[in-house]
Amino acid sequence: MLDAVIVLDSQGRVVDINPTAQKLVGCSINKAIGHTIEEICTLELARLAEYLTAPEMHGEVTLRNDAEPDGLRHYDLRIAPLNYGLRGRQVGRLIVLHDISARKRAEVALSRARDQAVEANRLKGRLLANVSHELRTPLNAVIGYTEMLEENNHPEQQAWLHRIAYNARQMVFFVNDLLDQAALESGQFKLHNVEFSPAELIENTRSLLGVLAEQKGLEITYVIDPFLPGKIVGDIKRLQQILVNLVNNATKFTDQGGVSVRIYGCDGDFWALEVSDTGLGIPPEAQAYVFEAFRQVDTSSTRKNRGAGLGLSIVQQLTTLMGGHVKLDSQVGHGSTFTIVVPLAPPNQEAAS
Amino acid sequence: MNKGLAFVIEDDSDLVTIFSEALRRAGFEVEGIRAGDRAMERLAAVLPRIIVLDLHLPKVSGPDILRYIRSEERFKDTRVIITSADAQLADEFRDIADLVLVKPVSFSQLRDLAGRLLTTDK
Repeated sequence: MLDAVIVLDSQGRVVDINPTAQKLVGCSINKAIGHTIEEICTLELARLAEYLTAPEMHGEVTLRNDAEPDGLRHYDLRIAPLNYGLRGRQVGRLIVLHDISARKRAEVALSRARDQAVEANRLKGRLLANVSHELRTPLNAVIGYTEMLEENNHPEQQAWLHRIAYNARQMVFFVNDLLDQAALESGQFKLHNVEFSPAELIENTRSLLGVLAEQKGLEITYVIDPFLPGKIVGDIKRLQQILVNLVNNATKFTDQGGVSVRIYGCDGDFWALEVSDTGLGIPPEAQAYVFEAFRQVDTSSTRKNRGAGLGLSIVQQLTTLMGGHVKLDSQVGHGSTFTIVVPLAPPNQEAAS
Repeated sequence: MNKGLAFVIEDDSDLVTIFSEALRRAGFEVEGIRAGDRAMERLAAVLPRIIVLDLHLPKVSGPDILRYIRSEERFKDTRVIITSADAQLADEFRDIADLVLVKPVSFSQLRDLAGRLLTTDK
Protein backbone atom coordinates (compact mmCIF):
# COMPACT_ATOMS: atom_id res chain seq x y z
CA MET A 1 0.00 0.00 0.00
CA LEU A 2 1.21 3.49 -0.84
CA ASP A 3 2.07 5.89 1.96
CA ALA A 4 -0.40 8.63 2.89
CA VAL A 5 1.19 12.07 2.37
CA ILE A 6 -0.21 15.40 3.54
CA VAL A 7 1.43 18.83 3.17
CA LEU A 8 0.35 21.55 5.61
CA ASP A 9 1.15 25.26 5.59
CA SER A 10 2.48 27.18 8.59
CA GLN A 11 -1.10 27.61 9.92
CA GLY A 12 -1.76 23.86 9.77
CA ARG A 13 -3.97 24.09 6.69
CA VAL A 14 -3.84 21.42 3.98
CA VAL A 15 -1.83 22.46 0.92
CA ASP A 16 -1.72 19.05 -0.73
CA ILE A 17 -3.02 15.58 0.10
CA ASN A 18 -2.40 12.41 -1.93
CA PRO A 19 -5.13 9.82 -2.76
CA THR A 20 -4.07 7.39 0.00
CA ALA A 21 -4.28 10.17 2.58
CA GLN A 22 -7.67 11.31 1.19
CA LYS A 23 -8.96 7.77 1.69
CA LEU A 24 -7.51 7.66 5.18
CA VAL A 25 -9.08 10.89 6.44
CA GLY A 26 -12.24 10.32 4.40
CA CYS A 27 -12.12 13.63 2.54
CA SER A 28 -11.47 14.55 -1.13
CA ILE A 29 -8.64 16.90 -2.12
CA ASN A 30 -11.13 19.64 -3.12
CA LYS A 31 -12.76 19.67 0.32
CA ALA A 32 -9.47 19.32 2.19
CA ILE A 33 -7.38 22.13 0.77
CA GLY A 34 -7.42 25.21 2.93
CA HIS A 35 -8.78 23.37 5.99
CA THR A 36 -7.01 22.12 9.08
CA ILE A 37 -6.82 18.40 9.81
CA GLU A 38 -9.20 18.79 12.77
CA GLU A 39 -11.81 20.26 10.45
CA ILE A 40 -11.71 17.48 7.88
CA CYS A 41 -11.06 14.37 10.02
CA THR A 42 -13.95 12.08 10.92
CA LEU A 43 -14.57 11.44 14.60
CA GLU A 44 -12.66 8.11 14.59
CA LEU A 45 -9.61 9.88 13.27
CA ALA A 46 -9.67 12.57 15.95
CA ARG A 47 -6.66 10.82 17.49
CA LEU A 48 -4.73 11.29 14.30
CA ALA A 49 -5.51 15.00 14.36
CA GLU A 50 -4.08 15.17 17.90
CA TYR A 51 -0.78 13.73 16.72
CA LEU A 52 -0.66 15.99 13.71
CA THR A 53 -0.50 19.15 15.78
CA ALA A 54 3.10 18.24 16.69
CA PRO A 55 5.71 20.35 14.85
CA GLU A 56 7.97 17.33 14.37
CA MET A 57 7.78 13.63 15.27
CA HIS A 58 8.53 10.04 14.35
CA GLY A 59 6.63 7.22 16.00
CA GLU A 60 3.98 4.56 15.76
CA VAL A 61 0.27 5.35 15.95
CA THR A 62 -2.68 3.01 16.13
CA LEU A 63 -6.06 4.01 14.72
CA ARG A 64 -9.43 2.31 14.89
CA ASN A 65 -10.48 0.73 11.60
CA ASP A 66 -13.44 -1.61 11.34
CA ALA A 67 -12.21 -3.09 8.08
CA GLU A 68 -9.31 -4.74 9.91
CA PRO A 69 -9.67 -8.20 11.53
CA ASP A 70 -8.58 -6.82 14.92
CA GLY A 71 -10.33 -3.45 14.39
CA LEU A 72 -7.01 -1.60 14.39
CA ARG A 73 -4.65 -0.19 11.81
CA HIS A 74 -1.03 0.60 12.70
CA TYR A 75 1.08 3.36 11.11
CA ASP A 76 4.60 4.59 11.21
CA LEU A 77 4.07 8.38 11.38
CA ARG A 78 6.65 10.98 10.38
CA ILE A 79 6.12 14.71 10.66
CA ALA A 80 8.90 16.87 9.23
CA PRO A 81 9.09 20.69 9.18
CA LEU A 82 9.34 22.33 5.75
CA ASN A 83 11.83 25.20 5.82
CA TYR A 84 12.43 27.90 3.28
CA GLY A 85 15.13 30.52 2.62
CA LEU A 86 18.52 31.24 4.21
CA ARG A 87 17.16 31.67 7.73
CA GLY A 88 15.24 28.45 7.44
CA ARG A 89 11.83 29.97 8.12
CA GLN A 90 9.25 27.22 8.71
CA VAL A 91 6.63 27.43 6.00
CA GLY A 92 4.76 24.22 6.81
CA ARG A 93 4.97 20.53 7.63
CA LEU A 94 5.16 17.29 5.67
CA ILE A 95 3.21 14.35 7.08
CA VAL A 96 3.87 10.76 5.94
CA LEU A 97 1.89 7.78 7.27
CA HIS A 98 3.29 4.36 6.39
CA ASP A 99 0.93 1.43 7.03
CA ILE A 100 2.68 -1.20 9.20
CA SER A 101 -0.45 -3.21 10.16
CA ALA A 102 0.72 -6.41 8.45
CA ARG A 103 4.05 -6.29 10.27
CA LYS A 104 2.32 -5.57 13.59
CA ARG A 105 -0.06 -8.50 13.17
CA ALA A 106 2.84 -10.79 12.28
CA GLU A 107 4.61 -9.64 15.44
CA VAL A 108 1.56 -10.47 17.57
CA ALA A 109 1.18 -13.90 15.92
CA LEU A 110 4.86 -14.56 16.43
CA SER A 111 4.75 -13.63 20.08
CA ARG A 112 1.68 -15.84 20.58
CA ALA A 113 3.43 -18.75 18.85
CA ARG A 114 6.44 -18.15 21.05
CA ASP A 115 4.29 -18.26 24.21
CA GLN A 116 2.73 -21.53 23.05
CA ALA A 117 6.12 -23.03 22.33
CA VAL A 118 7.40 -21.99 25.75
CA GLU A 119 4.33 -23.56 27.43
CA ALA A 120 4.69 -26.77 25.37
CA ASN A 121 8.32 -26.95 26.35
CA ARG A 122 7.47 -26.43 30.01
CA LEU A 123 4.93 -29.29 29.85
CA LYS A 124 7.49 -31.48 28.10
CA GLY A 125 9.98 -30.81 30.88
CA ARG A 126 7.35 -31.69 33.47
CA LEU A 127 6.48 -34.87 31.53
CA LEU A 128 10.09 -35.98 31.52
CA ALA A 129 10.48 -35.26 35.22
CA ASN A 130 7.26 -37.18 35.95
CA VAL A 131 8.16 -40.11 33.72
CA SER A 132 11.52 -40.30 35.40
CA HIS A 133 10.01 -40.17 38.88
CA GLU A 134 7.13 -42.56 38.13
CA LEU A 135 9.54 -45.18 36.82
CA ARG A 136 12.50 -44.68 39.14
CA THR A 137 10.53 -44.92 42.39
CA PRO A 138 8.91 -48.35 41.79
CA LEU A 139 12.09 -49.52 40.06
CA ASN A 140 13.99 -48.63 43.20
CA ALA A 141 11.56 -50.72 45.25
CA VAL A 142 11.93 -53.69 42.90
CA ILE A 143 15.74 -53.49 42.93
CA GLY A 144 15.92 -52.90 46.69
CA TYR A 145 13.68 -55.78 47.71
CA THR A 146 15.37 -58.12 45.25
CA GLU A 147 18.80 -57.32 46.68
CA MET A 148 17.50 -57.83 50.22
CA LEU A 149 16.12 -61.23 49.22
CA GLU A 150 19.34 -62.20 47.50
CA GLU A 151 21.38 -61.54 50.61
CA ASN A 152 19.66 -63.92 53.00
CA ASN A 153 16.47 -65.57 54.11
CA HIS A 154 14.37 -63.14 56.06
CA PRO A 155 11.06 -63.72 57.86
CA GLU A 156 9.50 -60.98 55.72
CA GLN A 157 10.46 -62.65 52.46
CA GLN A 158 6.85 -63.20 51.36
CA ALA A 159 5.88 -59.60 52.07
CA TRP A 160 8.86 -58.30 50.09
CA LEU A 161 8.05 -60.53 47.12
CA HIS A 162 4.53 -59.14 47.22
CA ARG A 163 5.91 -55.58 47.16
CA ILE A 164 8.18 -56.41 44.21
CA ALA A 165 5.20 -57.68 42.23
CA TYR A 166 3.14 -54.61 43.24
CA ASN A 167 5.84 -52.14 42.19
CA ALA A 168 6.49 -53.94 38.92
CA ARG A 169 2.74 -53.73 38.19
CA GLN A 170 2.78 -49.98 38.95
CA MET A 171 5.44 -49.53 36.30
CA VAL A 172 3.45 -51.62 33.83
CA PHE A 173 0.33 -49.48 34.47
CA PHE A 174 2.33 -46.33 33.94
CA VAL A 175 3.95 -47.53 30.72
CA ASN A 176 0.50 -48.65 29.49
CA ASP A 177 -0.90 -45.18 30.21
CA LEU A 178 1.91 -43.60 28.21
CA LEU A 179 1.27 -45.97 25.31
CA ASP A 180 -2.51 -45.37 25.44
CA GLN A 181 -1.97 -41.63 25.45
CA ALA A 182 0.31 -41.91 22.41
CA ALA A 183 -2.20 -44.15 20.57
CA LEU A 184 -5.13 -41.84 21.40
CA GLU A 185 -3.16 -38.78 20.25
CA SER A 186 -2.23 -40.42 16.95
CA GLY A 187 -5.87 -41.45 16.34
CA GLN A 188 -4.94 -45.11 16.02
CA PHE A 189 -6.98 -46.30 18.97
CA LYS A 190 -9.61 -49.02 18.38
CA LEU A 191 -12.45 -50.02 20.71
CA HIS A 192 -13.64 -53.62 21.00
CA ASN A 193 -17.34 -53.66 21.80
CA VAL A 194 -18.93 -56.67 23.49
CA GLU A 195 -22.14 -57.35 25.40
CA PHE A 196 -21.76 -57.19 29.18
CA SER A 197 -23.80 -56.59 32.33
CA PRO A 198 -23.23 -53.49 34.49
CA ALA A 199 -22.49 -55.79 37.44
CA GLU A 200 -19.58 -57.38 35.53
CA LEU A 201 -18.02 -53.96 35.04
CA ILE A 202 -17.83 -53.51 38.80
CA GLU A 203 -17.04 -57.10 39.80
CA ASN A 204 -13.97 -57.26 37.59
CA THR A 205 -12.42 -54.12 39.04
CA ARG A 206 -13.41 -54.42 42.70
CA SER A 207 -10.24 -56.12 43.89
CA LEU A 208 -8.03 -53.58 42.06
CA LEU A 209 -9.89 -50.61 43.47
CA GLY A 210 -10.01 -51.66 47.10
CA VAL A 211 -6.27 -51.68 47.93
CA LEU A 212 -5.54 -47.96 48.27
CA ALA A 213 -8.96 -47.24 49.80
CA GLU A 214 -8.36 -49.87 52.46
CA GLN A 215 -4.92 -48.42 53.27
CA LYS A 216 -6.52 -45.01 53.76
CA GLY A 217 -9.51 -46.39 55.67
CA LEU A 218 -12.01 -45.21 53.05
CA GLU A 219 -15.12 -47.05 52.01
CA ILE A 220 -16.10 -47.49 48.38
CA THR A 221 -19.82 -48.00 47.79
CA TYR A 222 -21.39 -49.31 44.60
CA VAL A 223 -24.95 -48.74 43.35
CA ILE A 224 -26.42 -50.09 40.11
CA ASP A 225 -29.74 -48.66 38.89
CA PRO A 226 -32.17 -51.65 38.75
CA PHE A 227 -33.95 -50.16 35.73
CA LEU A 228 -30.83 -50.25 33.58
CA PRO A 229 -30.96 -52.97 30.88
CA GLY A 230 -29.31 -56.23 31.99
CA LYS A 231 -26.97 -56.11 29.02
CA ILE A 232 -25.07 -53.13 27.67
CA VAL A 233 -22.82 -53.01 24.61
CA GLY A 234 -19.43 -51.40 24.94
CA ASP A 235 -15.70 -51.91 25.32
CA ILE A 236 -15.75 -53.38 28.83
CA LYS A 237 -11.94 -53.38 29.19
CA ARG A 238 -11.76 -49.66 28.44
CA LEU A 239 -14.78 -48.91 30.64
CA GLN A 240 -13.00 -50.73 33.46
CA GLN A 241 -9.90 -48.64 32.76
CA ILE A 242 -12.04 -45.48 33.04
CA LEU A 243 -13.58 -46.72 36.30
CA VAL A 244 -10.19 -47.64 37.79
CA ASN A 245 -8.73 -44.26 36.80
CA LEU A 246 -11.62 -42.30 38.29
CA VAL A 247 -11.80 -44.31 41.52
CA ASN A 248 -8.01 -44.22 41.98
CA ASN A 249 -8.05 -40.45 41.55
CA ALA A 250 -10.98 -40.07 43.95
CA THR A 251 -9.23 -42.23 46.55
CA LYS A 252 -5.91 -40.39 46.14
CA PHE A 253 -7.44 -36.99 46.83
CA THR A 254 -9.79 -38.05 49.64
CA ASP A 255 -8.60 -38.40 53.23
CA GLN A 256 -11.94 -38.58 55.00
CA GLY A 257 -15.38 -39.84 54.05
CA GLY A 258 -15.63 -42.14 51.07
CA VAL A 259 -15.99 -42.78 47.39
CA SER A 260 -19.23 -43.82 45.72
CA VAL A 261 -19.70 -45.42 42.32
CA ARG A 262 -23.09 -45.27 40.59
CA ILE A 263 -24.23 -46.76 37.31
CA TYR A 264 -27.61 -45.53 36.03
CA GLY A 265 -29.71 -44.95 32.93
CA CYS A 266 -30.01 -41.44 31.40
CA ASP A 267 -32.48 -39.72 29.09
CA GLY A 268 -32.49 -41.19 25.61
CA ASP A 269 -30.28 -44.10 24.83
CA PHE A 270 -27.49 -43.26 27.25
CA TRP A 271 -26.20 -44.61 30.54
CA ALA A 272 -23.87 -43.06 33.06
CA LEU A 273 -20.97 -44.11 35.25
CA GLU A 274 -20.55 -41.71 38.15
CA VAL A 275 -17.71 -41.53 40.68
CA SER A 276 -18.11 -39.13 43.63
CA ASP A 277 -15.74 -38.40 46.47
CA THR A 278 -15.65 -36.28 49.62
CA GLY A 279 -12.10 -35.11 48.95
CA LEU A 280 -10.20 -31.89 48.28
CA GLY A 281 -12.28 -30.73 45.31
CA ILE A 282 -10.91 -28.97 42.24
CA PRO A 283 -10.67 -25.15 42.03
CA PRO A 284 -12.74 -23.62 39.18
CA GLU A 285 -9.69 -22.42 37.23
CA ALA A 286 -8.19 -25.93 37.35
CA GLN A 287 -11.43 -27.58 36.17
CA ALA A 288 -10.68 -26.12 32.74
CA TYR A 289 -7.43 -28.02 32.32
CA VAL A 290 -7.59 -31.20 34.44
CA PHE A 291 -8.45 -33.21 31.32
CA GLU A 292 -5.35 -32.02 29.45
CA ALA A 293 -2.52 -34.54 29.24
CA PHE A 294 0.33 -33.99 31.72
CA ARG A 295 -1.54 -31.21 33.51
CA GLN A 296 -1.98 -31.49 37.27
CA VAL A 297 -3.67 -29.24 39.80
CA ASP A 298 -0.81 -29.29 42.30
CA THR A 299 2.66 -29.35 40.76
CA SER A 300 4.58 -28.15 43.81
CA SER A 301 7.48 -30.19 45.13
CA THR A 302 5.69 -30.53 48.46
CA ARG A 303 2.52 -32.02 46.97
CA LYS A 304 1.27 -35.19 48.55
CA ASN A 305 -0.06 -37.00 45.51
CA ARG A 306 1.97 -38.01 42.54
CA GLY A 307 1.24 -39.37 39.10
CA ALA A 308 2.03 -38.43 35.54
CA GLY A 309 -1.14 -36.43 34.84
CA LEU A 310 -2.46 -38.86 32.24
CA GLY A 311 -5.45 -40.52 33.94
CA LEU A 312 -8.16 -37.93 33.26
CA SER A 313 -6.86 -37.15 29.79
CA ILE A 314 -7.20 -40.84 28.90
CA VAL A 315 -10.67 -41.03 30.52
CA GLN A 316 -11.90 -38.11 28.43
CA GLN A 317 -10.42 -39.31 25.16
CA LEU A 318 -11.79 -42.85 25.63
CA THR A 319 -15.25 -41.52 26.49
CA THR A 320 -15.30 -39.29 23.41
CA LEU A 321 -14.23 -42.26 21.29
CA MET A 322 -17.21 -44.19 22.73
CA GLY A 323 -19.55 -41.44 21.53
CA GLY A 324 -20.06 -40.03 25.02
CA HIS A 325 -18.90 -37.14 27.19
CA VAL A 326 -17.49 -36.45 30.67
CA LYS A 327 -19.05 -34.09 33.23
CA LEU A 328 -17.26 -32.64 36.23
CA ASP A 329 -18.92 -31.13 39.29
CA SER A 330 -16.59 -30.00 42.00
CA GLN A 331 -16.34 -27.60 44.90
CA VAL A 332 -13.17 -26.99 46.85
CA GLY A 333 -13.45 -28.67 50.23
CA HIS A 334 -16.62 -30.55 49.29
CA GLY A 335 -15.36 -33.16 46.85
CA SER A 336 -15.75 -33.94 43.16
CA THR A 337 -18.13 -35.91 40.97
CA PHE A 338 -16.98 -37.19 37.60
CA THR A 339 -19.72 -38.61 35.37
CA ILE A 340 -19.19 -40.28 32.05
CA VAL A 341 -22.29 -40.52 29.87
CA VAL A 342 -22.10 -43.05 27.02
CA PRO A 343 -24.62 -44.51 24.54
CA LEU A 344 -26.27 -47.88 25.33
CA ALA A 345 -25.54 -48.86 21.73
CA PRO A 346 -22.19 -47.30 20.83
CA PRO A 347 -21.37 -46.12 17.30
CA ASN A 348 -20.01 -48.82 15.04
CA GLN A 349 -16.21 -48.66 15.18
CA GLU A 350 -15.69 -49.61 11.54
CA ALA A 351 -18.18 -47.01 10.36
CA ALA A 352 -16.70 -44.39 12.65
CA SER A 353 -13.08 -44.92 11.67
CA MET B 1 27.55 -52.40 67.02
CA ASN B 2 24.97 -49.66 67.48
CA LYS B 3 26.15 -46.66 65.51
CA GLY B 4 23.34 -44.43 66.74
CA LEU B 5 20.14 -43.03 65.34
CA ALA B 6 19.37 -42.70 61.62
CA PHE B 7 16.40 -41.01 59.91
CA VAL B 8 14.94 -42.16 56.62
CA ILE B 9 12.83 -39.24 55.37
CA GLU B 10 11.03 -40.50 52.28
CA ASP B 11 7.39 -40.40 51.12
CA ASP B 12 7.28 -43.80 49.38
CA SER B 13 6.55 -46.51 51.95
CA ASP B 14 8.47 -49.22 50.05
CA LEU B 15 11.57 -47.09 49.91
CA VAL B 16 11.24 -46.35 53.63
CA THR B 17 11.26 -50.14 54.22
CA ILE B 18 14.27 -50.74 51.96
CA PHE B 19 16.42 -47.78 53.02
CA SER B 20 15.65 -48.49 56.69
CA GLU B 21 16.70 -52.12 56.33
CA ALA B 22 19.95 -51.02 54.63
CA LEU B 23 20.78 -48.66 57.50
CA ARG B 24 19.82 -51.24 60.12
CA ARG B 25 22.23 -53.69 58.54
CA ALA B 26 24.88 -50.96 58.61
CA GLY B 27 24.39 -50.87 62.40
CA PHE B 28 21.99 -47.96 62.93
CA GLU B 29 18.81 -47.69 64.89
CA VAL B 30 16.35 -46.37 62.27
CA GLU B 31 13.30 -44.15 62.30
CA GLY B 32 11.29 -43.88 59.06
CA ILE B 33 9.45 -40.57 58.43
CA ARG B 34 7.10 -40.01 55.49
CA ALA B 35 6.28 -36.27 55.56
CA GLY B 36 8.35 -33.10 55.76
CA ASP B 37 6.48 -31.49 58.65
CA ARG B 38 6.83 -34.66 60.75
CA ALA B 39 10.57 -34.70 59.96
CA MET B 40 10.92 -31.12 61.25
CA GLU B 41 9.14 -32.11 64.48
CA ARG B 42 11.42 -35.09 65.02
CA LEU B 43 14.56 -33.07 64.20
CA ALA B 44 13.59 -30.59 66.89
CA ALA B 45 13.34 -33.42 69.42
CA VAL B 46 16.28 -35.73 68.67
CA LEU B 47 19.69 -35.64 67.04
CA PRO B 48 20.21 -38.31 64.36
CA ARG B 49 23.76 -39.12 63.25
CA ILE B 50 22.76 -39.83 59.68
CA ILE B 51 19.78 -38.82 57.53
CA VAL B 52 18.64 -40.31 54.25
CA LEU B 53 16.58 -37.52 52.69
CA ASP B 54 14.26 -37.53 49.68
CA LEU B 55 13.86 -34.16 47.92
CA HIS B 56 10.14 -34.39 47.07
CA LEU B 57 8.19 -34.60 50.29
CA PRO B 58 4.70 -33.58 51.36
CA LYS B 59 4.28 -30.42 53.51
CA VAL B 60 7.93 -29.36 53.96
CA SER B 61 10.31 -30.07 51.05
CA GLY B 62 13.62 -31.95 51.22
CA PRO B 63 15.72 -28.90 50.26
CA ASP B 64 14.07 -26.88 53.06
CA ILE B 65 14.89 -29.61 55.57
CA LEU B 66 18.48 -29.79 54.31
CA ARG B 67 18.92 -26.01 54.62
CA TYR B 68 17.52 -26.13 58.14
CA ILE B 69 19.96 -28.89 59.14
CA ARG B 70 22.89 -26.98 57.68
CA SER B 71 21.90 -23.77 59.45
CA GLU B 72 21.81 -25.36 62.92
CA GLU B 73 25.04 -25.78 64.86
CA ARG B 74 23.83 -28.87 66.71
CA PHE B 75 23.61 -30.87 63.44
CA LYS B 76 27.25 -30.20 62.56
CA ASP B 77 28.14 -33.89 62.91
CA THR B 78 24.98 -35.17 61.19
CA ARG B 79 25.62 -36.72 57.79
CA VAL B 80 22.98 -36.20 55.10
CA ILE B 81 22.49 -38.52 52.13
CA ILE B 82 20.16 -37.10 49.46
CA THR B 83 18.21 -39.64 47.42
CA SER B 84 16.21 -38.35 44.49
CA ALA B 85 14.67 -39.53 41.23
CA ASP B 86 15.44 -36.13 39.74
CA ALA B 87 19.12 -36.23 38.79
CA GLN B 88 19.20 -32.57 37.78
CA LEU B 89 17.63 -31.35 40.99
CA ALA B 90 19.84 -33.66 43.06
CA ASP B 91 22.93 -32.16 41.42
CA GLU B 92 22.14 -28.78 42.94
CA PHE B 93 22.74 -30.23 46.41
CA ARG B 94 26.11 -31.89 45.84
CA ASP B 95 27.86 -29.15 47.77
CA ILE B 96 25.63 -29.03 50.83
CA ALA B 97 24.84 -32.74 51.22
CA ASP B 98 27.45 -35.29 52.27
CA LEU B 99 26.35 -37.65 49.56
CA VAL B 100 23.88 -37.51 46.66
CA LEU B 101 22.39 -40.73 45.29
CA VAL B 102 20.09 -40.84 42.27
CA LYS B 103 17.27 -43.38 42.41
CA PRO B 104 17.16 -46.27 41.85
CA VAL B 105 19.50 -46.51 44.86
CA SER B 106 21.04 -49.93 45.39
CA PHE B 107 20.31 -51.49 48.77
CA SER B 108 23.85 -52.81 49.26
CA GLN B 109 25.39 -49.54 48.05
CA LEU B 110 23.40 -47.54 50.59
CA ARG B 111 24.23 -50.01 53.36
CA ASP B 112 27.97 -49.89 52.61
CA LEU B 113 28.14 -46.12 52.07
CA ALA B 114 26.17 -45.34 55.23
CA GLY B 115 28.47 -47.58 57.24
CA ARG B 116 31.54 -45.88 55.82
CA LEU B 117 30.29 -42.28 56.01
CA LEU B 118 30.64 -42.16 59.78
CA THR B 119 33.90 -44.13 60.08
CA THR B 120 35.67 -41.65 57.79
CA ASP B 121 34.88 -38.87 60.29
CA LYS B 122 36.71 -40.38 63.16
